[in-house]
Amino acid sequence: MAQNNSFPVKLFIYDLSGGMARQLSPVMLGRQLDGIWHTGVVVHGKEFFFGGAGINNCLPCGTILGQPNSIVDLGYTEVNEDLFQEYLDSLAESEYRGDKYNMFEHNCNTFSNDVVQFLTGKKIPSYITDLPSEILSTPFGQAIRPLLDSMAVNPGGNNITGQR
Amino acid sequence: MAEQGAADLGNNNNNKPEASEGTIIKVTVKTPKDKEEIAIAEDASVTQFKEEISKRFKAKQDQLVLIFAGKILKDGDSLSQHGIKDGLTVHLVIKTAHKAADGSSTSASSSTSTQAGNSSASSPAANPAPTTVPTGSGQAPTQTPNIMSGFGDLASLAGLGMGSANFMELQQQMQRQLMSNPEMLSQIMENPLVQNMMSNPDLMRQMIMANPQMQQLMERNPEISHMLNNPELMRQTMELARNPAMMQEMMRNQDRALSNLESIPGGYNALRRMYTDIQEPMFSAAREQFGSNPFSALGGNSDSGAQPSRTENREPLPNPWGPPNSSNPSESGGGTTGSTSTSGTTNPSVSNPLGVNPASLGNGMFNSPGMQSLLQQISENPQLMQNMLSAPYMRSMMQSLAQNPELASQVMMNNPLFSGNPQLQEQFRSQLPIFLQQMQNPEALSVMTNPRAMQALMQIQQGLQTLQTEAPGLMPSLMTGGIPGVPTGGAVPAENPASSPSSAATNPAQQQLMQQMLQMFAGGGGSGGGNGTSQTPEVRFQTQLDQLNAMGFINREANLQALIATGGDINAAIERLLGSQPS
Repeated sequence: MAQNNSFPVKLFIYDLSGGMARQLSPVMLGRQLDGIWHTGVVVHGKEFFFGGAGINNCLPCGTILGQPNSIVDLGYTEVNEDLFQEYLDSLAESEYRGDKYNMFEHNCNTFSNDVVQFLTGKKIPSYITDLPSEILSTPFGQAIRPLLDSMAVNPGGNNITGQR
Repeated sequence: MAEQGAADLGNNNNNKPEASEGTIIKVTVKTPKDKEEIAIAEDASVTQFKEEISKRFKAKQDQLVLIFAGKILKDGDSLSQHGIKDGLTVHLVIKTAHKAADGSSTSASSSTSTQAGNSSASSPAANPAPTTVPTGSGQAPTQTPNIMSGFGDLASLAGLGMGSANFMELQQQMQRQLMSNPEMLSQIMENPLVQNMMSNPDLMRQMIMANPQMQQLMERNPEISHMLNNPELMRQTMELARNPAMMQEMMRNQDRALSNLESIPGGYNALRRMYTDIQEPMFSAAREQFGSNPFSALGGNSDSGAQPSRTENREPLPNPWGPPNSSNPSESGGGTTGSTSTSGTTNPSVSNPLGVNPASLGNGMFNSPGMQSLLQQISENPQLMQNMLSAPYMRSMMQSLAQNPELASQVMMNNPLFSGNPQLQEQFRSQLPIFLQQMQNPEALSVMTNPRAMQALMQIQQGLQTLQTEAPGLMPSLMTGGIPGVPTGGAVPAENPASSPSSAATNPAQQQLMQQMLQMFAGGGGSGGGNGTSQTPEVRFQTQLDQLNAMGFINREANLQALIATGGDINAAIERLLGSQPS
């Protein structure tokens, strides 16, 4: 099994609020949040992310969100595409089914974190994974929690893993 | 050296005897579905590790693929070679049987997954994808409806052009779009998130107070904090903010009213002062978040030096062909300096997203020197009163005051006219509901706007006062709820000389005027002294009606109308009636 290829792994970070969070968060939340982060993992030429419909993938920058705000280079992985796909299939059947999506606790960033750890052993930047707890620690966040729990971020992507 | 407490783990087979004598480490093996902790010798090989795993996970060894730090662990490697130590996590993928056995089907499945490339929004600047080629399959590139709906309420945000990575740009874009497209604002307002936010007064207050500029502003003008702390007011404000139609209506009313006010000599000055005192800092506070304050330029243009209306305007009129929005040549007679556009005092919805109603700043308004000069002018010129009251602005303010007696009382109490006179205040407060009702009564309003009627009323009141002092015994029979003002009216002039030195800003004449006004309204406006309040016109004009009847004017309706129009003046009513009848 010649699997000595190295595949680059990148993390695409998007700000869902389009800059508004940076401006309004001090007023609304009482603390500074630089953005409402959504992430996708780009490997093997595709961008993978978790949304309300499940694990999706598409071409990089191919979602409605367009270009990412920032890209983090996470190194390389030896995991080839097949293996990765199998891994995703397993995830899609268990932890990352569509109905498991929770805006605060089990969202796109949770997924990205897990995938990236699988691929490279590293984690994604902590400011992204800390976001839900930061929001929930403000009274405003507590107040809108019920609303957000019912929402799901689904930037599209016409290829949903695990759904047949 | 074999087992060192690894038995605690509950593992049945800890060390394989084949493993040489390394220490046992506990490695977490994680699959997408599962997680297990496996104890293995530190220097074991991957093969051995896999044996352990296959037992635990009940899978065949060749189905197992171990990944650590991005590397696939090959059988020939050892754990230490990869740096696998105690407590670390290794990822495991268990290949499903048919895929493991059949490489071709795997490649088939992977090609189907690459097939559906999303080409709609893909930009060419994306990462090059050497391994996958979008085969241009029949997937429809237009997923926008799906995306929009699936995206929930954030879709409108995305549509704002998130292509720009620069936040400042994004903001300005958003602002521009908001300004140019009022629909968007209403959309945003309709957003349940926003509405939820708006319906919680505590939240709104928090938000407002959290803004540092706002805090500064509140320090300078404590009335604003009063306003914020009044939950009733907040709720009204938020209702207003939530309902864009209402807000627009109010804006229009305000515009009209302000332009009316502008035509009052000296009123323009007052307006401008009002603006610079209160609204501008408020706007700057609200706007600073969103960008530069376009009105700061306007404020800077305003001339200094407020001159009372009566003196000649010595400042050069602004250039009417000057840049728009910075000059507002007003043609009204001699007292206006028109360099600041009154449109600056209106509330564009972006800069004032909270819909703060400057009329609600009534507390501050009445205390500002501008308002005082305005009141002064009003008292000296009844014509002003008429103008002022006919403005729809006043009307809506009166309405809101009537509905909100607390606010009205607050406003009135802060009125400098009353500040030196607690007795008057008390009296006013007790009569406030009546007063407000009278204000609502269109007849009272029409009386107020009729200068002759006003003068007549004043004469009556003066007469009553004189009577009071001359013949106190006569008055008790004429007392009603309103007339108790009269005895204090007698006392007021005595108090005034004492109080006026103490209250720096009040004018005894003004107080007297207010006093009289109060009495007039409490007295039911337009009646011939001593009648009860809010009687129907028929009752009030009973004597006149009878007289008209006797004269031959049989048409009761027309009589009534005429009498109402003239405020009870029989002669004028007759003229009216004659004018409408050919005979």
